[in-house]
Amino acid sequence: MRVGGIRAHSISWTDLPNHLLESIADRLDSIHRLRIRSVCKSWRSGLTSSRQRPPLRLPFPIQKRKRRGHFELVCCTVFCFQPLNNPADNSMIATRCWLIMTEDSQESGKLRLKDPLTHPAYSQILSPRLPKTLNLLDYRVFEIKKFYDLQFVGDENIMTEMDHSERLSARAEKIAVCSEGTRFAVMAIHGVGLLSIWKEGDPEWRSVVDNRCFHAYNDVIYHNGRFYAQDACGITISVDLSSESSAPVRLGMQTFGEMSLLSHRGDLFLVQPPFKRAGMIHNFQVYRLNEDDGEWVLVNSLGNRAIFVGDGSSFGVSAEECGGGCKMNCIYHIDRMHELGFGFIEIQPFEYVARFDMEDSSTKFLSRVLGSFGLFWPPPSWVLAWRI
Amino acid sequence: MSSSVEAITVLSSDGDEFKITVSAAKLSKPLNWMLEDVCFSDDCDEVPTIEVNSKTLVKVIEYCEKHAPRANSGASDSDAEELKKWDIEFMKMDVKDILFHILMAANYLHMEGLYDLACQTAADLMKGMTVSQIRKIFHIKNDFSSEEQEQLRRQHPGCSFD
Repeated sequence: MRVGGIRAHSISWTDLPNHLLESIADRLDSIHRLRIRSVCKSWRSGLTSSRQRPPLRLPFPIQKRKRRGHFELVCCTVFCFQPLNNPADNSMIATRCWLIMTEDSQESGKLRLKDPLTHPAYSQILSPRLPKTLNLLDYRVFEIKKFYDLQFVGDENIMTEMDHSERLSARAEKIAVCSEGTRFAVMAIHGVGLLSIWKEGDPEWRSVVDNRCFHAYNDVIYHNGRFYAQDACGITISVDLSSESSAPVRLGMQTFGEMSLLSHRGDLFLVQPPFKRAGMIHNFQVYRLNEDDGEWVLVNSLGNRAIFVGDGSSFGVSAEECGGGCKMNCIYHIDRMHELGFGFIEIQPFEYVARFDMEDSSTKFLSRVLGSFGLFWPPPSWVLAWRI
Repeated sequence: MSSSVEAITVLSSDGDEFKITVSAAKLSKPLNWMLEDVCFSDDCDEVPTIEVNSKTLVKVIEYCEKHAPRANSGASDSDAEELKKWDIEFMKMDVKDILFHILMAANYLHMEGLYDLACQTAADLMKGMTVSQIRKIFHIKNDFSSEEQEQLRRQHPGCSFD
């Protein structure tokens, strides 16, 4: 009788099965991991460059008494695709980059495609010609930004036992994640604009309180070692992870409306959407944080970057990342005022994205901008037509 | 299985016969299943083969026999301390010829304790070493072309390759 197994004759360390190599690398730090990957070809292909962490379990719910179950982080990533060769045909009307958001799926290796600004999932129905797989070697691909959300894992019936206020705490409106070296922390906006923080290893969330009587936060971001949260009155607070003091960042003027925070290439921006006041329409205002003085400074130009303001997902794109597919010094946003005009007819996200040009303060719907077709959805022809 | 059997005979992949006590064999899950399924009485003429070479199997059996009493009955702290010292001595072995095969055998025989020990030993050997030192210790040839080598250097400036 033979117990089927290994042939232990002429094999050596280069033949080490991947999971054994992983077991060894798990006992060492990430630098050693990189070194192991540099030893030989088979070790390089057998070991991923970063540790595959098991899903992190965050306490559930955010406030109120603890319940059975936990939160896990769901990651969405915005990518920018560019064709390897410039599309020869109709290059006048086709965009030269494609922005897409992907959400990790339970099935490994599968991703769900989403709209980067408004987040509904795209499906084959919307665009039956989309290839089932995208070969990343066929395109130039840049990762633009990662966004996270909290997902409840556990018995769904628990939701029915909760009262209204508890249910508000069972999901996050918006979260920001700090993952630097061994430090891992999450800041969440939940309920009616409340702010809580959780650090890896903590048994529960802690609420972030400052001494103002009213604060309803609507955006939160992690930037340069600090969390920043923006409230509806225009006050920004920043929270240093090590000291945990929250110091408000002053803003030069009183502001209105839901402002969005975004971080791009080392700069933190605050974007105020257009608003009407005393018969005057105020255009987009963009502020950049002066970190030394802790002050927002109004900027007149975005320089060599374009910014995208979405529902809870705002990001910046540089000229290099989009290969000339987006116009620099512009704010791409969803024009809600005009969206209403479409009534209940299902419209494609592309149709309500507008572009505000900082140069001449003009706003145009993307559908009217030559060379923008396919920036979001439906995808450009060089993605669709590739393998039909 | 018959309860009268205290030791079983197994064959290594080189065809050599080895005796292993039942309590020691129980440290391995597949061997344990085999004990439950197969009759090991004297009149049973078929001897199971374990796909591990003789040199390695001697060491594996040595480990099992040492650890079996503690695994089966539980041990005091002083025993555990002594066992740890024994493990360290036990793992002082040739990296190329034995350690690799011990690790593969521990994996194949589902022996948790030995597997952890072998992984930790390999990791300790890599700790603080440069890439070329790791190659030397584990007898691995650098099979990257000079262009690939250059690319690695650029990607991981923090790593030393020399």
